Amino acid sequence: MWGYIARRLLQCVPVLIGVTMVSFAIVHALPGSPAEVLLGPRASAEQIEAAAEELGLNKPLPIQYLKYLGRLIRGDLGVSWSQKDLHVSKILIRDLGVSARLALGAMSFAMLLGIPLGILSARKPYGKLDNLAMGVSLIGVCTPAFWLAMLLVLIFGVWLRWLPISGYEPGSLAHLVLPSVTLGAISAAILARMTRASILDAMGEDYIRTARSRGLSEWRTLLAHAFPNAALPLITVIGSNLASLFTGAVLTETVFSLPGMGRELYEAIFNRDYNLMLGCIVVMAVIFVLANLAVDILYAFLDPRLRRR
Amino acid sequence: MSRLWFFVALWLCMAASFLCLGRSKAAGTAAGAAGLEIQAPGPGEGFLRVPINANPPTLDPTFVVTVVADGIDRRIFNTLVRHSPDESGRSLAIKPDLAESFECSDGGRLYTFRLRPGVKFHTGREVVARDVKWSLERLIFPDGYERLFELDRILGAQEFREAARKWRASLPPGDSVYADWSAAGLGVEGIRAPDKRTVEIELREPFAPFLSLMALTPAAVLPKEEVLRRKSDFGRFPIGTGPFRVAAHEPNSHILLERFDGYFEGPARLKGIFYRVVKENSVALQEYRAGRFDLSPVPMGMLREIKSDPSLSGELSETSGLSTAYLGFNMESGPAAGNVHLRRAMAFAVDREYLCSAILDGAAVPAKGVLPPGIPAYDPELKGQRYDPDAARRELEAAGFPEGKGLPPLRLYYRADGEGRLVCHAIQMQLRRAGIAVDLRPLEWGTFLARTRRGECPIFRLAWVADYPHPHNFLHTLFHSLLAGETNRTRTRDPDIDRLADAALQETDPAKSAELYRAAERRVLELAPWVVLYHGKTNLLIKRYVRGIRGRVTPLDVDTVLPGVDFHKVEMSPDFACAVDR
Repeated sequence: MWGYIARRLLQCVPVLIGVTMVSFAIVHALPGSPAEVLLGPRASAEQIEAAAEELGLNKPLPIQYLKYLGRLIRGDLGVSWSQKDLHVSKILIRDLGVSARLALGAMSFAMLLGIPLGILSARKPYGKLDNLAMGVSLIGVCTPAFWLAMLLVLIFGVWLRWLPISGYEPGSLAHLVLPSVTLGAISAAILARMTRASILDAMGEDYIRTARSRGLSEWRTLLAHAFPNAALPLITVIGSNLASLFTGAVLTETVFSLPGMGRELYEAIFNRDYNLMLGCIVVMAVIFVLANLAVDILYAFLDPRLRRR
Repeated sequence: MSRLWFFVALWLCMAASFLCLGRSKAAGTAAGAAGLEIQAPGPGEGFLRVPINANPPTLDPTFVVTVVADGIDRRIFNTLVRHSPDESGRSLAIKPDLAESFECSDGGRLYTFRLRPGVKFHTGREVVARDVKWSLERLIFPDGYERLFELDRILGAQEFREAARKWRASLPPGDSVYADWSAAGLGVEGIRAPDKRTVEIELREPFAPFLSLMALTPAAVLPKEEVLRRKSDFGRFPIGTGPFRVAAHEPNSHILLERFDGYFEGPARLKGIFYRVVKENSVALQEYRAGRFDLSPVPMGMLREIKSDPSLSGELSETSGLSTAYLGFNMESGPAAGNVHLRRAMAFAVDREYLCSAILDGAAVPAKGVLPPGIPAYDPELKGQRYDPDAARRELEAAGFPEGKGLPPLRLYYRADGEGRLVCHAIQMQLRRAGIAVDLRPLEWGTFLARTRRGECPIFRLAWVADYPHPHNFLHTLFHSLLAGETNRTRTRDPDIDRLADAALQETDPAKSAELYRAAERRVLELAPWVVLYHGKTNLLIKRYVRGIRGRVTPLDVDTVLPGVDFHKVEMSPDFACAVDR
């Protein structure tokens, strides 16, 4: 098992180097100079030139990349240009806390709603409950996050005044309820549909017939025999969704004014803050790689056949 | 069954870490470092709660670029003089701030400021003339933000910059703005502090808007020792002389200012101001409706709805601002460069009334000329550019394209976010009616800035917001050939405009100077490097129980941070509690 984990970890290194290389190239290919954006429309050509020199943008790209990589290996992500002299790592540690809470909240909500809904649907396929649940989940998959966010804000923030509408306070749970529900809605819908489909697949297997012939109740058959075998694909969905919830909550973070990673990257792009942009991308890549690794390890843990390969 | 329990355990882990992460204090946060636990102040606690739509990159006044930072810094810092509404309330005048008096002598070359006695920084140290000298030198220093590039007109400023550049090379990179050049014997010859309370500034030549420059936020007076000690932290927890000081600052989330009891005009009436970043104006409005903000911007396209809502219409404040939106032509290359008739045809073909009422929902007033109302030399009688389809047809014919025949589609570039998109779509339709086909090219801000500066956009839509209320900031900054390719993005090079703008600057009689600026403006309109569109308005919702803002919003105030309003006098009315319950 440990050998397997070590092997997988080693495989991550070239992936991450590839990510930095590609993202470095893309970031520098963006039109518009950071110096230009930093100084605004009032700056003179001379000032922009001086700022570009100061930021080290006048050196050849490969040199800039090697320098960046050198710093990255030492764990130095550089300083942010748009947030005057603040270290990128400091900014990202702060943002990661918010994003992690949001992603965990969203995924907890999605699992709490999606998996039971999927099981209930699979209990009597094409019954009333199934149709209702699948209808709701279809709406969930199709609803744009922005629209759902505004709807939730209107109902729970403005009309009922139960929950705060936007902002983030360390320690406050209430501020994360609406964002978590918004962000988790799509994952809940996906999980519900996935759970239902996997269970229905499993229900056609021989061992289910055997279980039934032993006189087990339908619920017991479903939970003790069908669900465990249908569960593996759910791990993949949860793992990869958790990573994307972690890193891709730009809209939700913007609407609810949460200082998370998605919004940081979005603003860094508009501010042409190369260090911050690259820092965000590298951290996001690491999160994805780790999430995939965790999924693989869980697979190995849950399915002994994989361990032996 | 074990896998089912695995899922239950997984869920429990997630939910538990979701809860636990919230319990731990925000690790590594600025507020954490300052030992402050931040809770948003509730209604009735004496804090004004204001949404801001962007995170200020820094609050260090020397590097202030954004409107939000500018407005917040106004609460924390003071300048030698400030812009305040004059007796008529319609235009802005220069009033004393840290200087109790000031005079101009030597034919407009020497400014002498006498500092108020007993003004203290938030640390308790008294402000002396040397602080003013050092703060202004920091702006001229090579790393300083040079929005005030006109400070080069101070005697010895350019020499100081050159010397400082050489000296800086010997310092570790990045540290130079936090280094003390005065200890190295460097300084600007024309900025002098002959005694503790006198500051003299000598210019190379007279420069009429000089006092306006001294009223801008970057010219704020800073305590040298704190800047040097705090280094980049000074941008998050700055120390000034203003009525409020920073109590908590969580970048991208919120800034809490608390009252500074040692303020030289006496403590402010508010306990503090709580700024919270809310990106979406529509969300800020919902928070305002829910009673969580005392001030709100009016989201685009919502003005009419707010006016018809009886609970909100009484809380609306509308103020015209000092900005002009325009279509600019590249005067060096492109189809409109050598064709004044084509440019004029477009100016006649744009229906500004329609843009303001139908597209911008009344959030702007149609422009006739370059100068917005409120700028000295603004001419209310100016005929200027106007909508006239017949004249447009005639000009198009004179341009060599009768009814637009033979005219290839023109490329119009604009900033993709914000109101530019709606406005440019409407303009495209209006021009099409006149026979002028336009291709729309939206660009993202950084790209837009770079391409317009390099002269790669034959036509572009942009707006200019005045740095200070003086016609120089429009007619020189935007049209003088010296600044072509910089702030003069149309690359207009016209000897008449240059001559008139230069002469106006030398003229010491304000009436004659205004007349010269008006002549320059008429020349600009005749040459038509711009199709002027509209002057923006600042529309805000202000709760009824907030006193001291409504009616005091100045043309310099953009956004919710209101840099021009004196927040020292703002208060919550005693009937606050009833107002909240209502």
